[in-house]
Amino acid sequence: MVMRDYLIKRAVSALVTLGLAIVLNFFLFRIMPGDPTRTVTGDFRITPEVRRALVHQFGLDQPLWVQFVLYLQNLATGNLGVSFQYRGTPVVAIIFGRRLLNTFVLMGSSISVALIIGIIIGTIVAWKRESKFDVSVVVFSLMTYSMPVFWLGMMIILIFGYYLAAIPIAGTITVGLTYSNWFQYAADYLYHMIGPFVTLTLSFVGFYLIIMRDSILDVFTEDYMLTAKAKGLSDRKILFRHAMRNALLPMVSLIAVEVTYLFGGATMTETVFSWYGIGRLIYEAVVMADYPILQGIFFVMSILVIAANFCADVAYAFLDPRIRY
Amino acid sequence: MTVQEFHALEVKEDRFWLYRRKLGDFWRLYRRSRLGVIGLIIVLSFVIVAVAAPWIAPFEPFYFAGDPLMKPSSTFPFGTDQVGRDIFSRVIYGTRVSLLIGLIASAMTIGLGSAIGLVSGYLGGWVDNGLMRITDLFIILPALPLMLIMASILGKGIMNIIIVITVVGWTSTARMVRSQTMSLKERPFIEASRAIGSTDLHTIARHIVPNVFPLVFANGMIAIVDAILSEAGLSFLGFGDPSSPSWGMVLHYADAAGSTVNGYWWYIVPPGICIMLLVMGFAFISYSTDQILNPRLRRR
Amino acid sequence: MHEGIARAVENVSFTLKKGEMLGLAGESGCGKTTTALSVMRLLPPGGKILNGEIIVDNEDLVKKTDREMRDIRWKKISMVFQGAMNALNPVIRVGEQVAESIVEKEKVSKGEALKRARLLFELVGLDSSRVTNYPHEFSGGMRQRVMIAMALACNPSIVIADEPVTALDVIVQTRILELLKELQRKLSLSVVMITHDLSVIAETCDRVAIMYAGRIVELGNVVDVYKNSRHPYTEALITAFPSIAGKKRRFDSIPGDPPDLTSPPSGCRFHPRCPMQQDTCRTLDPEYLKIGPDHYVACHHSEKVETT
Repeated sequence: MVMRDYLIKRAVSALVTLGLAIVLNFFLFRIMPGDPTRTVTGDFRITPEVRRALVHQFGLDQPLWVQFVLYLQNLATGNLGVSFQYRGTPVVAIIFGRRLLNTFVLMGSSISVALIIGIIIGTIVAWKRESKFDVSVVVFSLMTYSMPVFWLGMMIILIFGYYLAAIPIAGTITVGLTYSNWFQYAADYLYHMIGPFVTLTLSFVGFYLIIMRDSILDVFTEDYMLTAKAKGLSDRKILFRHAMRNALLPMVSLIAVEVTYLFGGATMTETVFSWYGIGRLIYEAVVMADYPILQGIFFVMSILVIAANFCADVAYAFLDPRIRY
Repeated sequence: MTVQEFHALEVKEDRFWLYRRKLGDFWRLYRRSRLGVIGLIIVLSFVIVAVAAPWIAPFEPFYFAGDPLMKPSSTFPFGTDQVGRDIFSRVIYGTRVSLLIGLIASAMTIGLGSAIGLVSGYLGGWVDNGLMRITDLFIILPALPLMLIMASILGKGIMNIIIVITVVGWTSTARMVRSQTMSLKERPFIEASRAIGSTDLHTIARHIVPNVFPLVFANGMIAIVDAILSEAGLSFLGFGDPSSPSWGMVLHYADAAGSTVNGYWWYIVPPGICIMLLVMGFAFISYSTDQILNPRLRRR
Repeated sequence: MHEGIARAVENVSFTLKKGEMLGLAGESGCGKTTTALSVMRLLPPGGKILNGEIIVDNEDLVKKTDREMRDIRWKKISMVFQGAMNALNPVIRVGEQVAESIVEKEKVSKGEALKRARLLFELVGLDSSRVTNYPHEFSGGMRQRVMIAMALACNPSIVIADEPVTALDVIVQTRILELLKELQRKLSLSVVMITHDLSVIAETCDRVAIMYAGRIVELGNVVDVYKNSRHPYTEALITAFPSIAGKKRRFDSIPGDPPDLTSPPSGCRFHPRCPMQQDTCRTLDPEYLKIGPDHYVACHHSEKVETT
């Protein structure tokens, strides 16, 4: 029953952090300068009466605490406000539409692939430490880690899009094309995803690989590794059964912390490849000072990060029996 | 001279030789790491380029030296940009900006993070709780969006970029310093120090800081890496300082000129490679330092 | 501390007779564990066997390839480590850890192997239902029993026990030692008992080798060595342990520290700490001489050593 207590504790902690995030979210955007009315009206000259009417419509003339209560009420009903730049389209519709899906598909696939490659190869090179393979893999990882994500994207577009014409230059799907069946659509979608997918995966994999390698090297110094070797087990069993399972534990916590940087990488990549996702939405919203969207995105992202951390806690509980019993 | 003063002198001298010996040992081990030495060479080369920029660069970074978008030639090794400026010179001067921002921003990040970590770890209790909640909050907030928003609030400018990077990046150092401080706090020599009546500040400065320093240094290398990459990203997205040609800014203009779709490779490749090499230099140093300072990673 | 080559073990030569328990005694760092690891060819990356032979069943283990050694390990020779430390993998159930060598070496199914694991648990005095537990759910003494069960999994003929009871309290110690003695008898095992605790050796072993600074300084029948020790170091070790039955006397701890093995003392390695040191001791390495039917000593003054 220790696991249940542990999970309850982590869940409570997550909820408290979520509460704080909600509060911060509210105040962060209230203190930002800039005149929202200007964004809405597209910077045309407007008369003071119109301005006042707009301010009233958006509830910006109420005292702060009233606005806060309204904000909480809206949140509870799933209302994240309406966008400034998209003329009254609910924020929820903008975020929770194609955009979120596109970002999930892109990020989900690249993180998964990067993790798998990083963990497996990181384990193998730790075993073959200081070999030519190890050194070249480590140098390669450091290289991709050092490249700015957007530059990597640009280079991929340049080499494979411009010179080799192998991948499309931009977009999620080919504009204006009609599809005879779902298959064609998926194929086109995936074709457009190659560029950003490769970029993101390459930029993530180096980090995971080196962290895993370090973790395994750490595990090698433990006594039970000597026991495993003394038992005459095969190298593969020693490495993947005894070492890896222990090495994964610190990785889980580290990955959870890194989640916010993943969003940053996604933003860059989506902007460079014009991928129709949340990342690019952030960029557009900042440029257009569209605060409702930003507030909505922050809220969604906070939830995602807190959820990811909680999932990491759960995963850790499953992987480490010392917590369970 | 009183006995105390004499004793203090002795202690100081001892500590000096202790540090010198520790540094000597460290350097000896470091010298053997190929990656570490290469990293150091790379970083030093960039520093030299940055310092000697006015003498190395053929043109001023904002001087309209030639026709727009010319391919590389002997006059313009990296070609020209869309308003005719020499890209080679801009990249050389960009070394200054990128290095400067990287070093200052990371120093401030480490400084802020360490201060908060030290206070939180040493004082414990409510102070610790409160500071940790705040830290958690900053960890939760998505880094890049927060940076973008702050950048758009504060406006363009080098100092603003530095502030933005610091505000977003101090949390990891704070956490690390805090856990180190908390484990050091329980050690007997800290108790001894308090027992002879040292003030808290004295204890922190004399005993905790030197022991935390090696880890902070390793963390500092990572902070420099993050700072350089963050600045590049911010500038690329258009939130940088147009009056200083950092590599990120050059790439921003490269993108604006449609370099990827028009094949202006000379505009894209050099600044990116410079960022990559400089970051790699620091990453190598960080990697080698880590291998030495973390005794478990050393060759058994 | 400086770097160099540490000759951890030098001129060590002994024979383990079938069915006997041989003790390997000495201070920390004297080379006993290194000797054990060398036999199993488990030296850490910085270590190397420069020369010598290790003969088991008429085969020299030093000449074996890695693959051959892998087959030999646990089947012919196994080790019992200090269970109190991290010698058991914390994330794998103990039953599986015992069973995995059976599966690997005898190609039986996992179910079969787990059944054998249960039997082994009973053999060492553990409840067989506990094969599904994790290491942290056991006390120190029980973990040691698990280690013993694990070491016996593939029916080895030789078992090397490295400090098996050191971290346990005295009562548990006694029980575990009794268990070991019993198992040795039942299964006709040949055991090497490595420890720094002479009383453990006195209780369990037939013969004993006393090691100092990487060399054997005295080897022989336990009774002979204890009652009639011929090396000043042995004498000092024995004197350092109180005896309830004996008369009251002062304890002498051995002055000085064990030597740095990268630059050991000249001549006899023990001479800096020896109460009987003379010029020959400083310059000449003592020969390893046979002084009785089963009693060897390496000291220039073995005749003059006084026994209490």
